[in-house]
Amino acid sequence: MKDLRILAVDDDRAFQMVLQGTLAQLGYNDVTSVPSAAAALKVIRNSPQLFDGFLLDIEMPEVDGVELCRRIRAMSVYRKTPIIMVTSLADKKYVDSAFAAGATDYFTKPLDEIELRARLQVMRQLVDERQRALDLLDELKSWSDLPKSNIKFDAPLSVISASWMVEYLAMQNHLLTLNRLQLFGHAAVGFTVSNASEAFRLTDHVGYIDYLANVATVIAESLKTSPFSMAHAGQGDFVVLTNRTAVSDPKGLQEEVRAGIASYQKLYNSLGLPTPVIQVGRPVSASIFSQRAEISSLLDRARMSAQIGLEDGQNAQKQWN
Amino acid sequence: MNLSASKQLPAGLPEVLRAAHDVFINLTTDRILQIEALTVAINKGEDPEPAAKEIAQIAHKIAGVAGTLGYPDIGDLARSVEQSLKADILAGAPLQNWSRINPAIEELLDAMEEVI
Repeated sequence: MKDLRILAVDDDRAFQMVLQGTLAQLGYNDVTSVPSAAAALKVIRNSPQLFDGFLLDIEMPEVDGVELCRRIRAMSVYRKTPIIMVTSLADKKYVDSAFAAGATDYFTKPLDEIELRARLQVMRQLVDERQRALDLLDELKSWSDLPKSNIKFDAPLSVISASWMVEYLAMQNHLLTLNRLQLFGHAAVGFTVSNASEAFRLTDHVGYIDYLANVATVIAESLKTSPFSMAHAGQGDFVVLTNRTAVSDPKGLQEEVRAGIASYQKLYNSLGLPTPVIQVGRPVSASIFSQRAEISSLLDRARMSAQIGLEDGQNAQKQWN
Repeated sequence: MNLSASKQLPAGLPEVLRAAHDVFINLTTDRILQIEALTVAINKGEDPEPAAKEIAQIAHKIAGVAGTLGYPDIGDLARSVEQSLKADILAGAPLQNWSRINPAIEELLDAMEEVI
């Protein structure tokens, strides 16, 4: 497996060395350490090779880690590169602004080897996901009809480049950083394309990505009111994270999405693809007393609700009552 | 002066962290002197905010690594000093709890002196 090329930024020399030593122990040897945001930007500009990921300390003098994250994200080549923030427990309140600046994940000081290993596994998954997307782009450029072995039906995929589209892992990580009150204000709504596997079988990479991107766009157009973020979770499932009160009528939303999709019927017919059959789930929220495990499963529950469907879900609800 | 040359690694600390440990010990002397000077300045009645911010920054760095390098007590003391100072600075009153924070800083300095 290719070693990840990592840039670590921290103004404390001792912590830099702790991080580098621990990373080496975990098998990550291609690590560049610098003491400031200015030094980081210089290294990034002058590096002949791209970095696979960044570890940024939040609290640094002059330009802090959040601002550095924003500046790295502004570079087109690093728009989707994993950026993991490093923060002390005292600075955890800044994590939200780091996510708003484009961070992917975070871990806390003092360094915990198990936590670091987990975060780097997330980085590895995102790098792999990005690589798959780049491979697709290459294929698109060459107009070749290559086998679809490097797209997995079950795997999350960034299907469209839009400000509201996030990676599924980043959405999961973001949920875990919210405090109870913030979490209480959010709801996850699942959307499933129940015949996505058929489309996956019938078309190539590019066709499948286009197919999902169109679904994502129609869903986004139907969510008119509140701010939201959307992720594709794999298997033709999408999850939208929005305000708790934003989706009060999931049935109405489902009708609107289906009507939006129906307007593309001729296009799907001409491509020989099935028109996506979309089911919307009920909004799923965490309670104010939710445990970590319950928060982690929030997105899964939203997906499941969409897979069950509103009608079946209602029947199930009646039976329980 | 390299003070770490004669310093044993704390029990259980992996060899891979020896270099980080040596840097931490070497930095500790300077940090003790810095914190002492800043504390004296505050006690003399100089503008407390910049001094309090600087002490909080130093404490932040110590808190970030001391535990990993085998000095959890120093890490805890540093974190407590950092959080107390930041709470007061954020509240716009850097000396509000100075009578409680000053002894905590002294305790941190004592613990750091034991390490070198």
